[in-house]
Order: sequence, then C-alpha cells, then structure tokens
Amino acid sequence: MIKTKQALTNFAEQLENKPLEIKGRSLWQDARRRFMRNKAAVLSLVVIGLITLFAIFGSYFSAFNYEDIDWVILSNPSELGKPSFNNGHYFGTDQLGRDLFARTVQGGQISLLVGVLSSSVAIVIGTLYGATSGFIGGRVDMIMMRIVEILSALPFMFLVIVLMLVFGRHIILIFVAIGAVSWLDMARIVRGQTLSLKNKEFIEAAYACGVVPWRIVVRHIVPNVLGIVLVYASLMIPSMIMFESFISFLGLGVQEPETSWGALISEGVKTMELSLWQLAIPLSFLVVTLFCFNFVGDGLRDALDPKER
Amino acid sequence: MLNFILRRLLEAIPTLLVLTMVSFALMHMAPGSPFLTEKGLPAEVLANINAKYHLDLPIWEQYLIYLGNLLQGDLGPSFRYLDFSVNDLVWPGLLVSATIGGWSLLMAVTVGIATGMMAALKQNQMADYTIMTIAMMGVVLPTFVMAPILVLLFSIYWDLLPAGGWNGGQWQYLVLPVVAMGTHQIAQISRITRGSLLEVLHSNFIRTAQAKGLPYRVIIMRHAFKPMMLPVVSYLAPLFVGVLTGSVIIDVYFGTGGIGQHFVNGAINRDYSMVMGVTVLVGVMFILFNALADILYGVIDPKIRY
Repeated sequence: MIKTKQALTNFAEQLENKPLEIKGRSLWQDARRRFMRNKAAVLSLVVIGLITLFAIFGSYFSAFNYEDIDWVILSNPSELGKPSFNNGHYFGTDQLGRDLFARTVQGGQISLLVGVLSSSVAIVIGTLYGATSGFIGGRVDMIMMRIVEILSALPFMFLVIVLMLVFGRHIILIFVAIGAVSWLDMARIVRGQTLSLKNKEFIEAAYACGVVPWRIVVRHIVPNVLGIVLVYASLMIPSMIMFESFISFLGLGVQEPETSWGALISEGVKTMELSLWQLAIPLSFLVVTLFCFNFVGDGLRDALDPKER
Repeated sequence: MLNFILRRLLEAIPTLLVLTMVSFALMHMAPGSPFLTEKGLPAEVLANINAKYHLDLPIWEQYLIYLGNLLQGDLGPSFRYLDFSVNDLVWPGLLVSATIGGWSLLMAVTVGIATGMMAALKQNQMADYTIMTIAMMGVVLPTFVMAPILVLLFSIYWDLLPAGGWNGGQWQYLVLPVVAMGTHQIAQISRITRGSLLEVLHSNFIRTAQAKGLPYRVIIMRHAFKPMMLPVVSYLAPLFVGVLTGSVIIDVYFGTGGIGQHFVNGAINRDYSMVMGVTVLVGVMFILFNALADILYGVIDPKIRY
C-alpha cells in the first residue's frame, strides 16, 4: 500500500516537473494501425501492388507484342506454344500463337482499369447523390430515394449488355456503363451516414459562418463519410473486375486484339483439354487479384468500422 | 398484413413501367433497322414490313402497342427467326432456367445455412477454419470459372458426367450446371449465416435461455434460429440476381438452352426483340422476387411495422 502511494507520488512529481506529451490520434492514424496489424490484408495489398506493377511495366520484359502472331508456333500451338524460357514465351502462347505473357499484361491493364475507373465513377456519383439527398432531406430526399429504389429493381447486368449492344463495344463505354449503374448502394449508405451527421454541431457552426449548403456537403459532409466509402470502394473494385470478366467471357466485352483476363479465360476454356496453361495463367491472375481485394476490403472494414471498436 | 403485401406489390408497378420504357427506348436507339440487308429491299417491301411491325407509327404509339401486347403476355415477333415469336423461343428456355435455378437456390440455402451454422458453433476450431477457407474460395471463384473447372474434372478427366446439353432434364445433365451455379451462393450464404449466428449467440436473450438451463439444441433451434435468419432472408434478393446472371453463363457454357442462351445469342445476332423480351421477362421476375423477399422479411422480423 505504502509502495503504491510512493509510486503515485513519484508519478505526480514527474507530471509536475516534466509534463508528459500526450498526442491525440486521429481516426485515420487509428485505422492505419489496426490495418497494419492485419497481416493478411497487408500482404494482399503488397500482392495487389505487385500485380499492378506487372500490368504497367510487364510489357518491357517481353520480347513480343500482344497482337503479334508467332507463325512458327501457329502450326501446332498445343505442342509448340507451351510455356518455355527458351523461346521467350514465358507463359506460352495462345491458340493463334500470340505471346500469352504480353496478353496477360495487356489483359491485366484492362481488367484493373475497368475495376478502378468504374468504381470511381460509381463512388463519385453515389457519394454526391447520397450526401445531397440526405442533407436536403424532406420531399427531395423522398423523391431521390424513390428513384434509387426504382433503379435498383432493374436487372442491370442485362441492361448493360443491351447498352453495349446498342452503342458498340467500346472500352470507355464499359467503364461508364458499369460505373453508372453501380452507384445505387453507395448512395444509400452515404445518405444514411449523412442523416446522422447533418444535425451535429460542426455543421451548425458552418451554417453560422455563412457557408452555402453545396459547400457544406462537399467540404464537411463528404470528408466525414469517406471512411465507409473507402471500405465499400475496396469491395466494389473486385466485383467490377468480375463483372467485366463476366461480360468478356460471354464475348460481349473488349474487342480483339485487345483483351482482358475474362476474355483470356474465355479463350482458354475452349482449348483447356489440350493446352491447360492458356486457362490456368489468366485464371490464377484473376483469382489472386480478387482474393487480395477481398482481404484488403475485409481489413479496411475491420479498421474503419466503428462497430468493431 | 394483407395491406402491406398489396402495397408492396402496387409499388412494383412504377418500377415495371420504367423497365419497359428503358428497354423500349434502348431498342429504338439501336443503330440500323433489323430489316436492312446488304442488297437493300425495294421501298414498297420495306414500307410493308414497317407497317406490319408498326415501325411507321410515332414512337409513343409504338410503345403503347408494345405495352398492350406485353400486358397480354406477348413479347412480340423475333426479328431473327422470322417464323417464331419471342414467346415460342423463350418459354421452353424459361422452364430449363427455372429448373436449374430452383435446384441451385435450394442447394445454396440448405447447404449454406448448414455449413454456416456448423462454422459458427465450432468458432475458431478446425471445422470453422476449413469451412470459411472453402467459402472464401467459393466467393472469389466466379461461376464462369467454376463451370469449366467442374467440366475439366468430372467430364474430361474422370468422365463421370456429361459436359453439357439438356436431354430433357435427366439428372446427370443437371448436376454440373446446378453445382457450378450454386457454389458461389453457398459460400455467400455460409459466410452470412456464420456472422449472423455468432452475433445472435452473444445477445442477452440467449444468455437468459442458457441461465434457465435449456438444452443446447433447444436454444439453437428455437431461440437463435429465427433471428439468425434475418440477414439470410435479406440476402435472398441478391441471391436471386446471382442466379439470374449465373444462368446466362450456365446456359451459354453448358448449352442447356435456357433463357440466358437466348439472351446472349440475341445480343450477338442483334435480335433486338429477343433481347428486349428476355430483359423484360427477367426484370419482371426480378421485381416480383424483390417484393416477395421484402414481404418475407416483414413476416419474419417482428421489428418491422407495416
């Protein structure tokens, strides 16, 4: 007991003489620490980084272009086209004798680009729509949410395919079409968050300072919902990549000679009895990428979701 | 209750209208006419054809005619297979898709809930880790990857089951499509069930039941089961979407002749009326199923007031 008292006195004196520096931690620092502790998520992030580097710089390591046909191999692609270091086709060739390494790199660019760009489109639209709807409230909110409800009841996978059928299979169109139809969930989530934010004191303070509503939404509401937006974004990217692969698998996505992982898989499936590597290589890239994005998404949710604390 | 159901069904009407309008507008924005051939038809013939398909009327009149036909269940003539109407082609396909979809829904719900519960009850044990690892793989592997892998193993390497076709729906022809379509869904439901049951098991009323000395089995089946089902039921609508989109892949890959195959063939052949027909049909099913899932949720969840 006396010992404890002694210790307390010491501590009190220490405080008096040399005040401890207490540093507050922001939400983001907190989240980063928690995320870093999640080994699977960090590892996944590294793998995603490597795959991205592969997609960007991979073409410098290959002697071949993704559209050039190796005429020697074309005579018997199932035998001569096997992966080998001797002829420079590290991943082998496809059925037309085109270098699969270069094609996987090119497909990766398209797949990742579709994933990231269409998610960004969806997130920007969804966040602004949801924040506006929740912030204005009242009848406007009701109408805006009713529109979301109606739209989310439409079978979008089918409509996107119809859109591409009507307007042609252009890659930019794929981004925009997929992105423009996937913002609905995001809008709902952001609206819910905004509703709980808009009566907080700092919003009132902003009003008192004479900030116009539009700026309040952009400068005060949106930054505060970014955490949850980030979580959903990280889970949205893999589903976008999957969606693009799905469309390409059906032969309705990217157009030859350009390719994506989904298109490569679809080609690989046709010849899988004879040349399994044509399926296995793009498939492993796709699956590993999807796996990693899912782990990162889970990690982010654990790090940023207030419920977990 | 009846009021709630009626209101929910009435709410589906504007959605259905929007669906038909969007499909119709898209069909009309499509470049070219389905009857433009390379040689070009004589003007009189073209005018006759246009008159036959009402293409000479103003667009709103065309829409009303289309809507009127639709209300009588007529999806219009196929522009590609001129002797057939879309109905002739789509209904047999719908039967095929419904069979495959129904079985995989059933499998997804039963197996998914069972494995999910097993994982939750053995939390942080070997069984839990095994189930959740497999489930994670199931989530990541899309249907279009599952299908070829299954065919490669069961049809090509081991030669146990046919690699495709329908053959009047014999069970051998059903197994691979149903499993390929169901795997992803089993995994999703399993994950949801596990999370949900874990949350329920930590709540106060379960502790009370334990304190009363109720047997474990009774606690799980009578007290924990119903609240556990809430997130699962709310997943039913996305599940149904998954089955519809999955059916496109399944029909194309296994050549079962379902609506998905008609849709993709229509899209590739630019058979607009067929594509629209399938879109509208799928949309109607989708909207009705959404309503159904909502109603079911209202019945199960005592917190929802209608």
